[in-house]
Amino acid sequence: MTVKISDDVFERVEEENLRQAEEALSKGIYEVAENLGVLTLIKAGLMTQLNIMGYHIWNKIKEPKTISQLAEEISKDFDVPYETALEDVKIFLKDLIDSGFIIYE
Amino acid sequence: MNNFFLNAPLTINISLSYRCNFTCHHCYSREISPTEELTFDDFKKISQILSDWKVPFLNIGGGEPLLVSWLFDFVKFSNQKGLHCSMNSNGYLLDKEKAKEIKKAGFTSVGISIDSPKEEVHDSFRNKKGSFKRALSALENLAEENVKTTVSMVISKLNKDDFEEIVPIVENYKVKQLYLHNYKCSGMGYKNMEKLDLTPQEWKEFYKKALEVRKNNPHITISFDDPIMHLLPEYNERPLVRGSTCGKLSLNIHSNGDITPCGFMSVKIGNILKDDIIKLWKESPVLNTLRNPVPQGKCTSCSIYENCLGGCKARAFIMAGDFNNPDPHCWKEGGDNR
Ligand code: SF4
Repeated sequence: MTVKISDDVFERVEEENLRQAEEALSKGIYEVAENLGVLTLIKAGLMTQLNIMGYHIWNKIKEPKTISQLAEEISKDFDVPYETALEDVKIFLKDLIDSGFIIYE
Repeated sequence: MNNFFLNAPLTINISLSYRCNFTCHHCYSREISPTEELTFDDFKKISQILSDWKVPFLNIGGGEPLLVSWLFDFVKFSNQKGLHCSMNSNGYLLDKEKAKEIKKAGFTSVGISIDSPKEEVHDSFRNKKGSFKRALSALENLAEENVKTTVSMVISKLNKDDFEEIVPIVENYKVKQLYLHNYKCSGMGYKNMEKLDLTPQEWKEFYKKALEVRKNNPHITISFDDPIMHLLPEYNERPLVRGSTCGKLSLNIHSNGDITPCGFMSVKIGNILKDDIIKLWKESPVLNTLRNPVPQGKCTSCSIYENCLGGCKARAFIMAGDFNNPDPHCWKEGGDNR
């Protein structure tokens, strides 16, 4: 079973926030980067924002994939153990699936 | 993540003109809105500015938008620039021909105002005989063209006891969403406030009932725009933006290009054709006051302040001259601010 972005999601990159988050990451100021919303998502009156880490995962789901594929990619990208990545991915997906931004296919 | 901030609004409410074929008793714009109107070319420039700024949604109000001769060309132009356009209309002029043009122009949805489930009440409130029937036929014409529709009802003393009867009526016309708007004390709404506005206790009773109606009608989306609803334990929504959304998610542009946080506040923060909108969005002292409210009066001891943030800022400003004043509709004990 793969996960994919629901067709009716509107998304907007908050470009200035993204620049600031990238700059904060490059300086190792993770707390600042974590707290900046860089992608705004809207779906049927619901709205949410993702930080730069969420944005990174979101972009990976532009191509539908299984949760384990996603975790493998994140594990490689961030050089973290697969199990840690899998846990993070599951936490990330939970709210977005509950609110319908991401769906199972 | 706790730092919700947008680099640009998500919605711009825009009035191309304040001309209207109605003279409603609660009209927020009559008497306070500018009479000056920019040209079609000016509005095209505005669309370009908003598109460059990555604003996704443009909601056209007024006045009655269908009185603007170049409305459809403007919407086509704005669509090409990537803006999703909707409008609010009283529906009176929206015949089959207009519905076809609306479809062709590419509106994402059209909101029709209906203020009572009773024809005679709506017609007298809107000061126009036949307006109820025409509003319903507007919904029918739009449904035939497969245009998404919503219905807006401004809650007042005239409909607080029977508003729910509108649900089965509008469902017959495939209406997707019903907005139950709180009464705004601006323009004619201010003048007729004593006659039409609810007392804080009546607002409480209304919202309690409205939440019941919503629960019992899951097939239609019933929406509210009132942060003080957080006072009700049965209202468990946790929107991302707390308090009033004006100046946080949206801005308002008048027919002369002046920008205000919302259509109900006459506090001008700049002009879209004369000022740097990006700078205004980030630095306007008015917007920053709205985004960083300071509790006052009974709000200081209110357990739901974090969600309500003092309620509707327009009402507080109009009634008390201070954005931070507790919302005059608030029924929490601890002070009389009406
Ligand atoms: S007291 Fe203030 S914060 Fe509390 S509900 Fe009333 S307006 Fe909102």
